[in-house]
Amino acid sequence: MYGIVNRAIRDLVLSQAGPEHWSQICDQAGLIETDFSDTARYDDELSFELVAAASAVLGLTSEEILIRFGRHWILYTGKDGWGPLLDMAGDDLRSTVAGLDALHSRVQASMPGSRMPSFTSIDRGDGALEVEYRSDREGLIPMVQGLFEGLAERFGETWHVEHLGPRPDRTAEVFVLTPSTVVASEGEWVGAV
Amino acid sequence: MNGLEPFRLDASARGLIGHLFPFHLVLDVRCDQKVVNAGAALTRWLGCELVGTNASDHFQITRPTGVEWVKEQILLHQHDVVFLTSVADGKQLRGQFTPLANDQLLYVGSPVVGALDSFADLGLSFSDFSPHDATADIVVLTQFSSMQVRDMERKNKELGDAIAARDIFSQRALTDPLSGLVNRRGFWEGWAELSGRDSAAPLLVYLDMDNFKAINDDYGHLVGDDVLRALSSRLAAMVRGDDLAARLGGDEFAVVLTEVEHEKAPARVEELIERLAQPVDTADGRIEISLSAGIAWAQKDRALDQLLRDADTAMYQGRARGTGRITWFDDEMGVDRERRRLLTNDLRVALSLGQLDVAYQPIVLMDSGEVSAFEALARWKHPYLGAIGPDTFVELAERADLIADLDFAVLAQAMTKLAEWRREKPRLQMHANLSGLSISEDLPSRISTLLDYLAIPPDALVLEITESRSITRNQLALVGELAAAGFGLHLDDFGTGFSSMSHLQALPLDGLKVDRSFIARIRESEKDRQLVSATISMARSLELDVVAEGVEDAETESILVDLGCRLAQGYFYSRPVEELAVPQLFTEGISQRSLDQSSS
Repeated sequence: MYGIVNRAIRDLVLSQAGPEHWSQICDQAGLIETDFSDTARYDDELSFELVAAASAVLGLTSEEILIRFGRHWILYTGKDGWGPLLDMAGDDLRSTVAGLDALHSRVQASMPGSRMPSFTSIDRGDGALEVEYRSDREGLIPMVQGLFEGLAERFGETWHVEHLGPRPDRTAEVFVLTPSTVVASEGEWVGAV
Repeated sequence: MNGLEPFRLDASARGLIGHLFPFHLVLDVRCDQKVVNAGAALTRWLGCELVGTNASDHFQITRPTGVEWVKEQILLHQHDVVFLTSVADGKQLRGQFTPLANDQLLYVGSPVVGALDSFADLGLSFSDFSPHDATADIVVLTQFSSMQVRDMERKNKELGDAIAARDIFSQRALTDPLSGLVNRRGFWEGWAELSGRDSAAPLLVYLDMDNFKAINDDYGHLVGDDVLRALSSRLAAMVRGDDLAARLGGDEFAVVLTEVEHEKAPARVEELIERLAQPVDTADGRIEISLSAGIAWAQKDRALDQLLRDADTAMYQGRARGTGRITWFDDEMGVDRERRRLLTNDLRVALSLGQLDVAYQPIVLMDSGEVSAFEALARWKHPYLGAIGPDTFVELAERADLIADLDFAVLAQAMTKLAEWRREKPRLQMHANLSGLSISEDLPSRISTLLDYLAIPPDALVLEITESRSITRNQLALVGELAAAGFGLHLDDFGTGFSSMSHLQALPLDGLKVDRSFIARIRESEKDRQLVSATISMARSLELDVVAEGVEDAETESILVDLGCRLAQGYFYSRPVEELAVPQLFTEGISQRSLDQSSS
């Protein structure tokens, strides 16, 4: 992953737990360099080790860490680097989520070798959005949930984010994003196969 | 391209064009290039309705230059890049014209995005661009480049910070925090820099305060630190150019004077010492300073540590003759130091091989002539140099950190003999010397283990602590342990040290030994007699035994008896003897021997 992801983990730990915890996490993850270049590529394994170490040191589950990380990414670190691009992706959560794939396809040109996830959003008709998330990386579903929550906060909107699970054909993970004015039909998956 | 048939734009084709080219225009050349169709993204971007208006109301053709909104001129450039620039706000499109059927022109373009354009200024979103349009990629690339620049700036700052931190660390590592002068390491580095220059051989002045311990004892460490700071600032003010001034530790300083001519060097050094040794005014009053200095000239083949040793040797040799001296190192000192080095090595070997002997001098009860105890005295017969005086080798042992081994070796050898002799004289005691430097954590247990092994009670051993040695707080606690273990404790050479009285008060003593220098004079000197008398009275009131050492005649003995002293030691009774001669002392008796000696 690109360094901006690792820096986001670092920023999250620094802002929520302080430099001593970050030092502990680096020790635990066996890191020598404790800061990252946003635009340099690092081994995926390093990011996962950081998450595991942060989980151990902060006493949070990996899932909790990833959700927080997703929110932090949108609201702070990502905003710092990719914020202007997010601005171009859309004016609200709905249009931004719809434009995520376009955004990622553009970003790919600047970040050769990156493995961007894919998001397909389907308007359910009742105001809720059904989003299919595809990635060749495993274990980042809680982070995606955090990203959606962060996006809602970024636009000052209130959305309920729910991970429904994998599509029946297991080609994507399905989220339902329900604005506060829409009563979610919990657990109901209406996406087309 | 020239052979293409003009494309007929019907309704479905218009939809297709709109879908594929969100920034397109369709113009009717028959009606002053009236806009008959415009891409949705283009309309949104310009912020005004285009259809039904003339293209020239909104755009100028800015590239190729000189082209007007005239069909024929435009079609001359149908294969070229054509820039349309918004009349209202300068927004630019880059694209291409192509003729359509029915006297229409199609312009397909995309916004011109420059490296300096900000996203906010563009007022566009990714969804405005068709997927094949790479214009939006420029926006991302620009953003990515700015992130790379920011990365670089951050890394540069980190590097700068790290370098600055290293410099500060390095500065601290080389500076003595108390004095602000360079420390030993800094001195070494400064010397290395100096050595690399092609300049005259510098002069090394090694300085040591003579009375720093006394200042600390009398005024406390805070005042002692003030004195060191005052000295340091004087030193810093006096060095110039490439000169180096360092605090090597404690009250030791070193100064390297460069650019000093040989004939002027003594005056320069004297001036330096004189100004340094001025009294220091502190909150507790004016404090006198005494400094001893050793001086050595740098030589090409001489490393700094050798040079420091030379200056140090000179300083110590000078101080041996008295404090406050300036002593220049010479070759003879070097020879003497080498001799001492070799002798120290030999002493180390002799100790490890158990080659030191012990001589025994009796301590007698003057009224009966009975031997009450022996003092064990170390003797060293060097294989080539013959007998080495105890003053010499004890001092070497102390400086080489061998004194603890020496003291214990003598003690162990003497106690082994005592175990044998006590079979005949069960109350016989052994006095063994103990340097303050030998008092270590494990000493009480080592001695106890030895005595247990030899089945000798602890009170059979009397440890004579030399009072001129300073004893630390920790050592004082260990002396307490020795006393608690039941060993006798005597203060040796009483009257010659600096703190006789304070030792009497601080140490758990059983007795003291009046120094031979007083005893030797009591026949002639009333003053010395009074001093010895007072010492004996004081000791009796403190319930301490008193041993008079250096008794060499019957008259001295008689005076001591009259003064109330019971125990004595000296040539009058016996010189120190080898262990084989000790049983003879038991059989022949001391009184008889002393009579024999005094009559011979």
